Amino acid sequence: MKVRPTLTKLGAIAALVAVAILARMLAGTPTQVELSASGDPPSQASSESPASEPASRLLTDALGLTFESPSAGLLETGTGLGVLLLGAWLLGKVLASVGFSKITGYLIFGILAGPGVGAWIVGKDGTWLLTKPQQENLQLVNDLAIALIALTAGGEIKLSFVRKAFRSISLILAFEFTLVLLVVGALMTVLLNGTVIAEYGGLVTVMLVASVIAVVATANSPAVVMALLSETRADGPMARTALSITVCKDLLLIIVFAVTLTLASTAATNAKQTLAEDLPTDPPPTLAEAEASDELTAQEVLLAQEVAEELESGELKSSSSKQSSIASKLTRQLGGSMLAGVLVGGLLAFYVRKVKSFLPIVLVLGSFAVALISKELGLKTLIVGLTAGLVMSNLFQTIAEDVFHTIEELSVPVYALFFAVAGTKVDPGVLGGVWIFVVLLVTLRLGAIWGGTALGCKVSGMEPPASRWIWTAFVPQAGVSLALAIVVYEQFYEFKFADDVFNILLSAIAINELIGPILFKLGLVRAGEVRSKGD
Amino acid sequence: MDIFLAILIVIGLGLLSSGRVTYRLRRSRLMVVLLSGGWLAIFVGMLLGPNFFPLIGVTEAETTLISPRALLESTPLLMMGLGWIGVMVGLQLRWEVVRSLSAGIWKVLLADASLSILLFGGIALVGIHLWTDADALAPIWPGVLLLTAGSIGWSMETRSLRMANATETDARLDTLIRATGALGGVLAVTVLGLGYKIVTRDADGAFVFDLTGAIGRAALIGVLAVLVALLGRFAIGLAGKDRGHQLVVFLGIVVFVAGIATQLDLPPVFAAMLTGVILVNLKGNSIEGFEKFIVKAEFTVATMFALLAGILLDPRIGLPGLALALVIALARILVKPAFTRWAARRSDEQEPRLPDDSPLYLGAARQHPIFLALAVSVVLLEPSAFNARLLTIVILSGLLCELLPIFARRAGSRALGDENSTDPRGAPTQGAPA
Repeated sequence: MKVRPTLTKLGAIAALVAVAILARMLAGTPTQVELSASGDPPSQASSESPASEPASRLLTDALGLTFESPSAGLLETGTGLGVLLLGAWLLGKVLASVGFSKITGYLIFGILAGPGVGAWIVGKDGTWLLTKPQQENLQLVNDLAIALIALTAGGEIKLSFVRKAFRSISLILAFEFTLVLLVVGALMTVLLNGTVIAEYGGLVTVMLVASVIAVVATANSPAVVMALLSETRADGPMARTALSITVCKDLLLIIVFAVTLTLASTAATNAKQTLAEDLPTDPPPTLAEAEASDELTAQEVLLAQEVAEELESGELKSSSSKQSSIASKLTRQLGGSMLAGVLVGGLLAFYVRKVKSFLPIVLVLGSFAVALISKELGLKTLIVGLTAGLVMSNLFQTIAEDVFHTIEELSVPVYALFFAVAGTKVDPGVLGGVWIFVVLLVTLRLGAIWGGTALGCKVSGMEPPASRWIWTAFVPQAGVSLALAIVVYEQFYEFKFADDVFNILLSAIAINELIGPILFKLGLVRAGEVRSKGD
Repeated sequence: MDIFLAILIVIGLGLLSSGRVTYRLRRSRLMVVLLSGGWLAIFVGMLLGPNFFPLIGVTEAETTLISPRALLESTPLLMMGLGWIGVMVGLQLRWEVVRSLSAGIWKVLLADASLSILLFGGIALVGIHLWTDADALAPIWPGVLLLTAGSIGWSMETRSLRMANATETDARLDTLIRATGALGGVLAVTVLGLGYKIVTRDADGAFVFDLTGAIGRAALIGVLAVLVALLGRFAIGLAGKDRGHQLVVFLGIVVFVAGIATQLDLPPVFAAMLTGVILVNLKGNSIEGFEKFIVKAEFTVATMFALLAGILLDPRIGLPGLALALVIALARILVKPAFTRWAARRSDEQEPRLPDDSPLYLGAARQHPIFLALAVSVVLLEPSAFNARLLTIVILSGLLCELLPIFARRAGSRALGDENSTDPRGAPTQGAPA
């Protein structure tokens, strides 16, 4: 490692950070209000619209018409985006020079720039690089990056290869998926035993809820796999099989998640109804009464109040109606995303065949449109992009080359931005009270991935060294896992365990996010599939 | 399914603009202007945006292809576009190039700036006052300043006005028109950048004059631009010739500096331009490759930016707004070419003298594309209906400045009974009415 260039790059990062903080301080932006949101549950914060940020105000223009001024969070987003792009890229270069993956650098910079670390370093009232509202305003740009990554990942899946390697792909996937599900499910069952849901729903309900959480643990990141394959230019049986499994797993995950979530939420609703019968809901107890009571927790009181309101308004749905609504929503999401993907892939191929000109514009606009489609219609950007890439590379092979070559040129900023934004969502503050469970979850998941993959490789007859290292591809977690964790939290937020489980999941995802790329790069190097050094 | 429709519109127009029909259409100057000046992208943007359907009486939310919320979320992209344009303008000011410009160019620039500030400042002041019925200058100051600053300079595109049998003096005039146009753009950005915060909003949201604050903020943005440029210089060197890495650095720099400016409530194009100026004048050799890369992406950025401008505009300008756009366009067409001819002939002391009747002078009537970027940056800082309507006026007057001379020339040709006064590609020939 050359010390001087590394120090210069680190100096440049420090200068970048200093300029950004100086600008924020000079702008005199209120920080207290924004940062106070960081103590809220992440799902709540993420569900807030940027338009509802506290810093915007109603103004009157020269025509006498009122309008809402852009919030401070929105105006600062440009600076935040610039800092993330340049800082992540620089730190990626620094870490690549010491043998790490650039992605690790992007992630670490994102974590350091994020509001979680910011609250640690400068306190809730201090000025830091990225606030929660800024983070939310970056969502569309982040979705644009996801769409482009998914297009590339889908494009890398050759159906001819999947047909040829179907046995090893399906067996490794089945064993790895099942073992992680079982191991993490068992851990969560132990953890949830003794909570309200166990008391009122019984062991089956606990196991169902635990299995939903376990499904989140089985998820891994197609984006990390794709980014590392692109960075290292790796090619070989391990790289191709790992990518195919990751993409197939993503599709399988949505289905399994839909089924388990439907079953678990039905069971939880039943538990809630049992609880409603036991608790004094008419009238429901107040928080003050709960504090005075030894038997009721504040969480149970809130639950009882909510149940009472729902019973009154008739909103407390029967388990069958709730089950069908969740199932139909998730089915629509999966089916609709795949259908949209086929349509986008077909349209892009049609455009390239008939027009071909201005491909970068069409691709960026197309990906932007994919991100918007997904947002407006409640679809999964990742699945739309994956399907579109898959359709193009397999049905329109000759045409697709131009598209993927153009996307390749855009890949560096896309990866830097995507992983830096993913890093900003990590909040080390939540680790405090649950660290022991986090360590347990990460270790058990790692062991299950290794064991399940080894078993799958043995049964399918996959040759070493690929069989020895392919498990490393399934460690990284990022956006998909985070999104599923938020869905789980939103589904069970009324129960006391939801906060702890959510914090455990978030922290575990953050750790997997960090160690995943390091392990996968190591695996690719050891399997001898890396064609050039990262940098 | 609205968004699918939006994609179909974009792809459909893409197919249309490259098809055989449009190839034939491009033989007419009118269609060249409409298809290649970014107007098509603005039109598509307008169809997608939230303000078009209410204009034609459709007010259901479902008809809005891009919702105001999605528009809000595209702010970072808008900042990126504005920063990109600003840096591109700044990169033109390489010291060696600026130093080599003739005194005549500077004199014409000074004359045009004085005329623009007096004439168009006056039109803007009276027009906006009548339109808004404002009883003080402060609330209409940003609008007046925008229309005044944007009127400085003209489009640098002269190829469509060049004659087939150009002489040495025509070539000299061509250089003068293009160079003055480019410098006019720089001046326009500077005037808006320095003057915009002379009026600010107080704690109650009322407009107040704050000259000291404006000077302080301008100095501040200068210092920050220097810091960003130094940082950018280092990053450019690190990116080397790799296009992917160059893209990260460039996107990072433009959005960072534009973001800082927006945060400080200053037009982002100005800060980005300053950064570009400093960047291009720092010693080193990797900037040339970088400049080529930026210029290569110019069309992509311009198209996307025009699309966003179309989405942002509010066409409900009413008769006063329409009249203002028309007056601005007519004043440009009637005054600017004639004034430029006078200023150029007086300023240029070389022999042989500049031609008196060149169609190149007509180029002075066309708005500088930076006007659009400046108008968009004002909407970004204050997304009010007034600013969105000002954007419409800027777009409309720009379009009229492109179209009216063509119609006038056609009408003139018909009156003279000379249908062949333009060549098949639409380029004017010697002797065509200027």
